[in-house]
Amino acid sequence: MNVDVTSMKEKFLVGSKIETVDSLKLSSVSSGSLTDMLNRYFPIYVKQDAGGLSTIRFRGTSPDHTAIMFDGININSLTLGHSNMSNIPMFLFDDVKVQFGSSSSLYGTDAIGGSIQLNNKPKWGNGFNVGVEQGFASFGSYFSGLKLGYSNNKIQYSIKAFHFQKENDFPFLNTAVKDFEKNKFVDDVQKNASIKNWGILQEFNYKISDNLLFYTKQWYQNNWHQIQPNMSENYYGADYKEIENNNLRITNGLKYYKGKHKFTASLGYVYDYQLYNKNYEETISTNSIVSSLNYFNTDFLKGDFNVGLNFSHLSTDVYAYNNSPNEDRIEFFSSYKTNLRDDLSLALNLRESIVIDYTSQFAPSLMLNYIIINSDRKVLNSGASISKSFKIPTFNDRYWYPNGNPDILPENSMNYEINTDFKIYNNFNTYKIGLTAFFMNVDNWIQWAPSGNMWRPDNLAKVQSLGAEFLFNHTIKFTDFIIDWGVNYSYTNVSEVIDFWKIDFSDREQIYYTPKHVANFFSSFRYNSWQLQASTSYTGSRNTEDNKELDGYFLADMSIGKNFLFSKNILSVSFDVNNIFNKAYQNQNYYAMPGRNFGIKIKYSYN
Amino acid sequence: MKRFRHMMLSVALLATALVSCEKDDNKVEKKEYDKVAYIVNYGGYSKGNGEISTYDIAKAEISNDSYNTANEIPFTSNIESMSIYNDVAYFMSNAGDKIDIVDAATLEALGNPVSADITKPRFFAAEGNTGYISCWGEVNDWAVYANSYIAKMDLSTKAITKIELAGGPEGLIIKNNKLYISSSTANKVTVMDLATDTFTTIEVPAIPQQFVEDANGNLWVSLVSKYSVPFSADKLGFAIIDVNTDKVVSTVKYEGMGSNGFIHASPDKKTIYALGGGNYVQDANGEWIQLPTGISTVDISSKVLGDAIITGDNFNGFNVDPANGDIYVLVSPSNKEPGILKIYDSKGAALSEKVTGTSPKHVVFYDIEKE
Repeated sequence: MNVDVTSMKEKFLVGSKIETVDSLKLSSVSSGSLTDMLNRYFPIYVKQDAGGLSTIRFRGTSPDHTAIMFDGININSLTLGHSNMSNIPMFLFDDVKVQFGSSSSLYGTDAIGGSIQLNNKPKWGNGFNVGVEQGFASFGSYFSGLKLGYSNNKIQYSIKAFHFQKENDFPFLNTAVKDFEKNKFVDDVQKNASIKNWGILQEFNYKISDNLLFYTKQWYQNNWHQIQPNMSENYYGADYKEIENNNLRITNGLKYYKGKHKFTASLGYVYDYQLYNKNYEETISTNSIVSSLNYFNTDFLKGDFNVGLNFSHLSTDVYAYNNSPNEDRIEFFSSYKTNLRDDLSLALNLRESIVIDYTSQFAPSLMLNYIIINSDRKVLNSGASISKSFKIPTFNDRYWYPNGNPDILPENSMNYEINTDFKIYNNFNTYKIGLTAFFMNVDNWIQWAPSGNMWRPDNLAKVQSLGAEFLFNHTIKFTDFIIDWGVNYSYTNVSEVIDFWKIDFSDREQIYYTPKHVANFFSSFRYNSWQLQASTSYTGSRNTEDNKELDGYFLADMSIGKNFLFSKNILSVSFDVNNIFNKAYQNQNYYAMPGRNFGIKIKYSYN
Repeated sequence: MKRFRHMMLSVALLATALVSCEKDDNKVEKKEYDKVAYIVNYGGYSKGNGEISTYDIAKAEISNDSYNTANEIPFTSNIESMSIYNDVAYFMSNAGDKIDIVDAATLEALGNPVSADITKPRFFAAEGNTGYISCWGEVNDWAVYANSYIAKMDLSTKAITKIELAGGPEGLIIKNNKLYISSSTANKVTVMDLATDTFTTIEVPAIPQQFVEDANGNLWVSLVSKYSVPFSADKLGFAIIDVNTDKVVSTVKYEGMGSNGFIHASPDKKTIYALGGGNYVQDANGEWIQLPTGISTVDISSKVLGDAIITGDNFNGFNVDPANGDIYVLVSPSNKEPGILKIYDSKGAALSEKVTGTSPKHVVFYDIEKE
C-alpha cells in the first residue's frame, strides 16, 4: 500500500544498476545539496562552482541527459533542459535513488546518462514527530531546517522547511592575478558568490479505505545566488550578476490496490520562474501540467505487467520567445517482467512519446538478470541491458529568438550494459563488490555553438561514451559498533566520433569538463552514541574548451558526532572539516574553490 | 719570418678596424626590425582565456600564449582591443575589467594593470601624454548604456579621469586635436575637443563603429545595425567625414557591413577594406540564415563598393599589413576552440594560414627594433 509508482517501476529495471542512498549517508549531507551527496558517495562528476551552480555529467553525458524525478515527475527545466544540483536540498528527502544508465523506456525524456529519484517514504502509525537542524559553517554559512509530522494508521502528514544562506567570502590565492611589482600572485577573497535558498515540502497521505489511498505533495523553493566571477573578474571587477529561481512542484494522486491489480492516477503541476539580475522585463517562466495513469498487475502471464499513459501540457512565458509557445505530449508505455527460471528474469519495456506537432520517439529496452550463485551466504548476480533513450530538445533550443532552431532533432542514444555484483556475508560482515561495463552511443548531440555573432543550437555530433564502474563496500556490525566503508570508481571515455562502430582510440579527445577517472572512498564508524565519518574523493584531470587541462584533485572530509538520547528525544551534535588538506583546485578554469572549512551541526528529533 | 707575418697581419686587421670605425661614424645608423603581427585572441566570455599570439612575418611562424610566455601568467581576461602608442602596448580587457600596459616589443608588463575607474574598456587612442579609453561602464540596458564614459589616462601616472558620455562609446581616433568617438546606440559620431573636453556631434545614417583615415585626410566610419537598436540595411555602410568641417561629405552603402564594423585602409590609404556578412537574416520562409563573411573593398575616389575579394565562414576580424598590403583574416569557428589566421595578398589570393588562440579578433602590426 505504501509503495510508490517509482518503486513499482523499478522492478522492471532488472538489469540496471540502481543504488539507494542509505539513511546515514543522507543524514551526513542533510544540510547540503544533491551535489554534496553525489560528490561524497558516488563516482559521478558534478561540475560545480563555489557559488550556487552545479551540473551533473553522468557517464560522460551532458547535464541535459540526467532525468531528475520528483515523485515520478521530471523536474528538469523546460528551457535549459537540466537541473541545478545545488538547488536540490537533501533535507527534504529520505528516499533517494541513483539509477545508472539509460532508462527513457521508463522515465521518458532526458534519462540517457542516468536518473535520480527524489522521494519520501510515508511512515504510518508513527504519532507526532519533530526534527530541528541548525548548522553553522565557515564563510558565513547557516542552515536551518524544521520537520514536523504526524501519522496514524489512516493519515500521514509531514512538512519540511529549510533556509540556507552562505556569504561564501573564502580566501584564496589568486593565480590569475600577478602583482608585477612584487612578482607574486595576489591573496584574494571571493566576492559576489553569496547564496540564499529556502524551501518547503509538505506531503499528505490518506487511506480512504484499505484499498484506496489519496496523496498530495507540494514543494516550493526559492533559490537566489550571485553568479561567481572568475578570478580575474573577482580581482579587477566586472559585471557582477545574480539569478533567482522559484519552483513549485505539486503532485496529487490516487492509488487503488486489489489483489494482484494496482491502479494509480496522478495529476501534477510544475511552475518554474527565473529572474536574471533583477531584470523584470526579461523573465522566464514555464508551466507543466502532468497527468498519468498506470495499471500494474503482479501476476500477468506469470510476471509483472505495467501499462499506462502520461499526458502533459507545457506552456511558456519567456521574454526571448515569440508567441509564448506551448505544446502537448502524450506517452504510452508498457512493461513486462517475468522469471524465465528461478534464477533468470527478463524485462521488456516499451515507450512511445509523442510531442504533438513536433516529433515522436520510441524507446524500448530489454533487460536480463541472472543469479549465478544464491547460497546461504553468497549471492552472485549479473545483469545485462540494451536500451534506447532520447532527449526532446528544450524550448530554448527551438524557440529562443532569434537563435533557436525549430528544425532541431531530438537526441537519441543506445545504451549497452552488463553488470555483476557479488555479496558475501556472515553474522558480522557483509561484503559487496559490483562491476559494471557500459557502452553508449548518443546521436544528434545538441550543441550551442557560436557562429558569426550569434549562438545557435544544432545536432552537431555523435558522441560515444564507454566505461566501467567498480564498487566495493564492507560493513561490520557488532552490538556496540558498526563500521561501514567502501570505494567507488568510475572510468569514462567519452568523445565525439565520426562513426559509432569504427572503434579507434588513437585520436580520441575526451569531451571537455568530463574526467576519465572519478573515485571516492567513504567510511563511517559508529560506537555506541559516537560516530566518525571520513571520506575522500578523487576527480581526474579534465579538458577545457580551449584545450587546457585542469589538474585532478583529491578532497578529504571528516566528521565526528555524538548522539544524546532522552526517552524519545535525540540530540545530535557533529563537527565537520571539509577539504582537510586545504587543496587548491578548480572545476572551471580560473574559478576559485574554497579551501579548508569547518561546520557544526546540531540536530534534535522527537519521535 | 713567422713572427713578421703575424705582425703584418695584426697591423692590417687594426687598419681595417680603424677604417671601419671611421666609416660607421660618418653614416646614419640604419635600424633593423622584426616585423610582427600581434593577434588579439578574445577568448571565451568569462572563461579567462584571452591571450596574444605573435606572428613573425619574416619567419612565417606563430607563437601562441605570448603574454603568458612574457609574464609567466596567462592573460585571464577577455581582450577587447590592443593599441600601440610610443612603443607601449595597451590592452583593453573585460571580465575582469582592466588595462594592461606592456612593452610592445617584449609584451612584458610595465607595471600592474590599471583597473580603478575602468569598467568595460573598449578602445584606446592617445595624444601627447594622455590616453583616451572608451568605456561602457555598468550596462543595465543595452539600448541606452547610461553609465558609459571616456576615461582620460595620464600615461605617466596612470591616473584616470572619467568624462561621462552615455550611449556606449566604441571606436576612437584622434585628428586635429579632436577625439572622434563612435557609439553603440545612436546614429551619431561624438567629437571631443581635447583642449576643452567638450562634445559636439555629427549625425550619420546608422550606428558608427570604427574609424580609418584615407589618403585625403578624411575619416571613414563604418555604419552598422545593432540587435538592441536596429537600423535598416539601406542605412549601413560608411560615412566619410571631413575633419576640418566635421561634416559628413559622402556615404557609401554596404548592406552587408558586419555588426562590429571592422574596417582598415590599404598602405596607400586609397582603398578601404571592410569585414562584412556573418549577420543572421530571415529568408522568405522566415528561417534564420547566416550570411557568409567576407572582405569587401571601396576605392576612395570612386566610392564604389567592389565584390568581396575574400569570402569564407566565421571571419571574426582582419587587418592589412601596412608594409605590403597583405590581408590578415581571423577565423573563429567558435569561442570554444582555437581560431585560424589566414593570410592573403592584397588581391585576395590565399598565401598561408596558422592556428591562433581562442576567438581571434584583432591584428596589430608592429616593428620590433633589432638589438
